[in-house]
Amino acid sequence: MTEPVTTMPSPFRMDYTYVAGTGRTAFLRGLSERRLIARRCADCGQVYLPPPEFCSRCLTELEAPFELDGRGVISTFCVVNFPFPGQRIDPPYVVAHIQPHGAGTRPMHLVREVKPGQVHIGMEVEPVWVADDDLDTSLLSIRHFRPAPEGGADA
Amino acid sequence: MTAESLSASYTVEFPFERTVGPTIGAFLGGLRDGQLYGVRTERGALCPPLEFEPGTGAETGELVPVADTGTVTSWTWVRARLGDPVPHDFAWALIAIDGTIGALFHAVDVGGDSGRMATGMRVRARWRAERVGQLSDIECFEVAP
Amino acid sequence: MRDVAVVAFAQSPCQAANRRDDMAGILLPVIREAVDAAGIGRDEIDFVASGSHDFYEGRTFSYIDSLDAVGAWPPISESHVESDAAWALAEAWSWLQLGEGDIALVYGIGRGSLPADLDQVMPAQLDPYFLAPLAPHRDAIAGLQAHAAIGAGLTSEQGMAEVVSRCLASALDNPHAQRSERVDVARLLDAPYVSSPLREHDVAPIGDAAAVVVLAADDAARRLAERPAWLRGVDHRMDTHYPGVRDLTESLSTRRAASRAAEFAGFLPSDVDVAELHTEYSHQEAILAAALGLNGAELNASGGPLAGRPVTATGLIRIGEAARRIFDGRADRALAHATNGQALQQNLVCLLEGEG
Repeated sequence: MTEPVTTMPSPFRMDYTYVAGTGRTAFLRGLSERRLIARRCADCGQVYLPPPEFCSRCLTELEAPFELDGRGVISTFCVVNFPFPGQRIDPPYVVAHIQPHGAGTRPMHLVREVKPGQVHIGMEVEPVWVADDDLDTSLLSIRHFRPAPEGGADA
Repeated sequence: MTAESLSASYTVEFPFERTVGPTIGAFLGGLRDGQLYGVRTERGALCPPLEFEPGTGAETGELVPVADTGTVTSWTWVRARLGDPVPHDFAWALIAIDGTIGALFHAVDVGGDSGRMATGMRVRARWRAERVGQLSDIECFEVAP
Repeated sequence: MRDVAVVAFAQSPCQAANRRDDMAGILLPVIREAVDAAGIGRDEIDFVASGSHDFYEGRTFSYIDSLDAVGAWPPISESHVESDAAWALAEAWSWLQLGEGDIALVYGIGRGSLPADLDQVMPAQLDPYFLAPLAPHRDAIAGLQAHAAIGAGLTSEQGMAEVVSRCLASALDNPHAQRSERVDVARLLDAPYVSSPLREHDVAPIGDAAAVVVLAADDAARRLAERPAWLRGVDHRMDTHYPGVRDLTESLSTRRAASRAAEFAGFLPSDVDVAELHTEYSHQEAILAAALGLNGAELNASGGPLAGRPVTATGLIRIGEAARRIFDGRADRALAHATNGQALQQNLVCLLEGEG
């Protein structure tokens, strides 16, 4: 009798098109111009950053887009210590949920220019944009966030 | 309202390795050795083998060697793509392996001439010289002399 | 058993490729239309069930995006199937039968345009040992089935072209159809094969759309619809996955699902006025009509999937189209069929009825 096989390769490779949708598209185009586009729900007051077309609680169209400067506070964070394939930055580094002033949602981004041990919830941060030539319709147009002086946002 | 939004292409890859279990494992081992197997059921030898009899759910029995010749029970003519088992247009077919029940799905090479395909035609496995224990160890089937 | 009915149905137009909307953007207007038609507020919906498939979307848990169009906060009771949304309807029907609530919203999203090459994606639903490694062409197993159906005398290339011609003409009255025209059978038969004996028009055109069905039980159904389409029987069954051990010319699972649905319903598929069949390929109409034992029913009056196949929304649209014909009095009894998998491997049958 023949020696049985125990495993076999079963690979998949599939190419797709990602469609951003109209709301995300306006936000991504804003990023390519160093602008952070937000929209407010007239019914519940929630401010979305990034903004969809309609409020996911009220299902009503959001109001006209407006800009935020991106300064905000860290609402929570973690320190990434492990390496993985495709990693862009050498660990350790900080990934945080950032609550921009004036927004009700919390985009995720890197926090750098500070030692991971000094990062804390409630820390005031600001976006650091890439050079003009590197701006793109991508969240990577913001290189990372960094600590900002407290109260400086509205000064 | 008809304007397009931003879109981008991307690729998803899953480099999975799959465990095959004893029944299919023995069948694939047979392919590596250049031998086709069926599995015993109450109705006869089933090829390709399944772990359970599809009609009753009964566990199937031991593997038994079978011929590598058979009869085409249905076929469809397709254009060859990069990576297909045959470099020119060919047929995908269900092939009832001699002495077995069921039918094996595989490619049939008739030299790119769909006029040579027919239900009921006799075919034989064309084995690869280098075999690894996968279905592609049979390159395709070809007209049996 | 509770009496459960379809009380509203809406869908978006079938498009070959929607390059404007994300999942929620496609779905929201359709949910609004269906909910408005039922005359209910969101807070009256007790359960939400949906169907879509990550292999079409190209992302894991992709359907989460669609919840933004449902209003999932505060938390709602919801469920999702990685399948045609007709199976989500079967779940919602069971949920209503259990008495967990009175109103359920079922939606399906199908975006077949997102995969760049369906030949890469379709093998993912096949047997991983004996079929997927060969990467058959997307229509190859259906081609084998069509060939076998012709061999068994169930249909012919001429008969398949007649089905296509009839469906595309019916679709002229369907504003959501992706394809519709008056076309001669002879002209269809001049077209080249894609996977013989299938020609391009024999293959339901894959694309993008969303569909929404509102279900309600007992008094709620009578309150929400003038003429509810009562779901008298629902059942689904599957055949074994390997095509070499099935008789491809008959659909045993359709036959069994229909028989069980008829036990619930108290009437047979042969009693219906209209039938909406999930024909992904033209030859499947003959196989399904035989398995169901249809007798003079008008088939796919909407044009059916041959006029538009938004993948995982297609089966739910069949149920909606069948219900629509009961809402407006064109039919008293209707059958809807949905399928999943290759060559009619899994099948769902609904028997619907109007009163008065």
